[in-house]
Amino acid sequence: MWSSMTSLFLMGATVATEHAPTDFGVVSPERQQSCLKAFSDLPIAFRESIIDLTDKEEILRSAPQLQAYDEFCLERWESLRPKTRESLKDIVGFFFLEQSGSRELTCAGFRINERYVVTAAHCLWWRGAQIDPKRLTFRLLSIPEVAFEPTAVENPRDIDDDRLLTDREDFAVLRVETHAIPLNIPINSFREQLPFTDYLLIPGVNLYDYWIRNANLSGDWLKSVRVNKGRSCFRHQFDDIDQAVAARCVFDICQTLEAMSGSAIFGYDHVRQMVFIGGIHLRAGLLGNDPIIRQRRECGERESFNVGITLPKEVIDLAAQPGK
Amino acid sequence: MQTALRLAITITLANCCFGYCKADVTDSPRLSSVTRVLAGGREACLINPPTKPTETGLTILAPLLASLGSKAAEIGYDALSNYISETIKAQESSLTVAVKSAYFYRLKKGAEGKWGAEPALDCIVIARGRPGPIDVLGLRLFAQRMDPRSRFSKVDEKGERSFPILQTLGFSDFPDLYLEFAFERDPLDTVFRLQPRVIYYKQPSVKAAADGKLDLNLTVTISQPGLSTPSAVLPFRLAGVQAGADVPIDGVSIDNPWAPMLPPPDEKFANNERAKLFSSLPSTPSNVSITLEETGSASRYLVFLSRFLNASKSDINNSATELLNQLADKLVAKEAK
Repeated sequence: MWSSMTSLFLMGATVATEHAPTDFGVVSPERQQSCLKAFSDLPIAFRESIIDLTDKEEILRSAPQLQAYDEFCLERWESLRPKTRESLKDIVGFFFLEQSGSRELTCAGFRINERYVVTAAHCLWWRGAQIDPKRLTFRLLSIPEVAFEPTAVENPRDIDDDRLLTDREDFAVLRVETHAIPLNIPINSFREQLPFTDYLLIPGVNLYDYWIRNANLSGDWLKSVRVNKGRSCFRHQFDDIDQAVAARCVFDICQTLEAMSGSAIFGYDHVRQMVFIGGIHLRAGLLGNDPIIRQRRECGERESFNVGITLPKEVIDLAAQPGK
Repeated sequence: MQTALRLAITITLANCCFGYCKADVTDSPRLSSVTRVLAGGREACLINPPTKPTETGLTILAPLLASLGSKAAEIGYDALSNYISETIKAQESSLTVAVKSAYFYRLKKGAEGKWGAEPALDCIVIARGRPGPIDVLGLRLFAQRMDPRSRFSKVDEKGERSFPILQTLGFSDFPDLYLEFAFERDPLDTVFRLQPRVIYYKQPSVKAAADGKLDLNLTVTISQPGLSTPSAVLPFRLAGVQAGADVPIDGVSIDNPWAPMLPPPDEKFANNERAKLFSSLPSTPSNVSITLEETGSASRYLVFLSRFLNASKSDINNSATELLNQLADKLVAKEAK
C-alpha cells in the first residue's frame, strides 16, 4: 500500500519557527491591516458566522464587501508553491449536495486513504435533519470534474440531534471509493497533535465567491479555492480550560468561512521537512444561547477564534488500514 | 365565552411568558429568579434521562385515537382556559407560564428506503433559579446540604465538585425548583403521559399550607402551528409536596392521565424532493405551552382535571374520571364553607 511513499513538502505555505517567525509567503503587515479593515467592513452576520446561507439575495447584496475581504484576507490556491499544491491536491476535496439544478457546496473534507474521506460530523446535518450521505458527492482538487459518491458513514453517531455532538465527536469518516486516484503518503502524515508555534494551513473554498460567480462543477469551482496566510493563523492556548480537553481543542484565528468545516488543518514538521494533517477545522468560536450546545461543545465559546480538534486517533487508525 | 377566555389566556401568556404570574409571595422572595424550560429528546432530561427505547421506526399509520384526541384536546383546552383565568386571580397561587417549540416525531429511513416515524419528544424540564455565573467555591460549601443526592454536582476522580447542570441552566446557585419529566407512551404509541424523573423543590413561590405542603399542578399543551385547536393537553399533578431540596418521587401523590398522541405525518411527505436528501429528519413541529401552578388549594386544578377527563372519556380513564369528579366536588364544597 505504501510502496511508493512520498512526503508532503510544504513549499509555499506559512511557516514560522519558535524563536524567529519566518515568512514563507506570509502576508505583509500592511496587507494584514487591509485584511482587518475588510473584515470589519463585513456585515455583522458574516463576521459572526450567523449568516442565513439560504438567503442568497442578502449575500449578493454584500458582494462588494465580500470581494474586498476575499482580496485582502484570503490567498488563492495558486499562491502555494507548485510542489505543495502537487502534494495536497490528491488529499483535499469538498462535498457538494447535487440535486436537480442546484449544486450546493456543503463542507470540506480530506482523504486519509483510497477508501475513506474525513469531514466534520455536523456537515451531515441540516436544520436537525440528517443528510443521507449517498446524496453527497466528493470532489478532489486534483480532478474537480469527477464526483465521487460516498456509500456510508463508517462511524455513525447514535444521536437524533446534532446539538448533542461534542467537539471531540464532531468528525465523520465517510466511505468513499477513490481508488482511481492513488494516494501514496506516509502514515506519519496523520498525527494527533498540532504545534502551537508554527503557522497552520487550512485550505477551503470561498463559498461566497463560488456563489457570486455562479461557478460550475466542471472545474470552474476550483477558482474559488483559498488558503490563509494571515499572521494569526497558528494555534493558541487558553488557561481557563481543563488541560486534557485543551490538548484536543485547536483554537486559531485563521481566515475561514462557512463551508470550510471539515477541512484538514495542516502543520509543518521542520525536522522531517514535511507537512502533516494534525487537526480538523470545525466551527467559529461563538456558540449562541442554546444550553444543550453550550453544554456539549467542550472546547467552549471563543470569540474571534475558530475551533477545531486535533486529529482523532480513530481517524489515524483508519488511515493505516489498507486502502484496497 | 370561550373565545373571550382564550383571549384572556393569550394576554396572560403575553404578560407572563417565561415568568411568573405571582400572587402571595414567600417571606424571602427571589424576584431575580428566571424560569428555564427545556423540551426535546432524552438529552433534555439533564439529570436523569430515560433509557433509550428499543423502538424502531414505526410504519406510518393513522393514529388509533385521532378523532378522540382532537375533540378531547379542544374541550380540554377550554377547561384549561377556565382554570388559568381563575388561577391568575387567586391569591394563594403562583402561576408560571412558558412556551417552547419542539418536534413531536422524527422520521427515519430504513435500510430498504422505507420511512418510519418515531416519537421525538421525550423530556421536559422546568427549572427556576437565579441567573448568573457560578461561584464554585461557595457552592461546594453548601453542596452536601442543598444537593444531597448530587443531582447538580459532579465529583471528579480528585474528589472535586463541579456543577455542569447549573452551568447549562445558567444558574448561579442551586435552583429553587427543578422538575424533570419523561414522556411515557403505551406500547402502540397511541397515548402518552408525563412521568416525573426528578422533583427538586427548595424554595416555593407561595406560602405553604399549615402542614408545609403544596401542590404542583402542571399542564402541557401541544399545538401544531396553523391549527386553531391544540392537538394534545397533558395534565399532571403532584399533590402534597413538602418543600425542601430533593423530594422522593415515591412519597408524592401523582395524577398523570394519558393523552392521545399527535397524528404522525402521512407517507406523502416522502415524495417531497427535499425529503429525499435526508436519512432522518424531525417532523411535526409543535408549540409546547406549559403552565405550572404552585398552590395550597387543590380545587381549581381538580375541577379542570375532571372537565378534561370528562371530555376525553375512554376505557383508559373512565374510572379515574369518576374518582376525580367525586374528589373535586368534595374539595370545592369544603373550600366554599
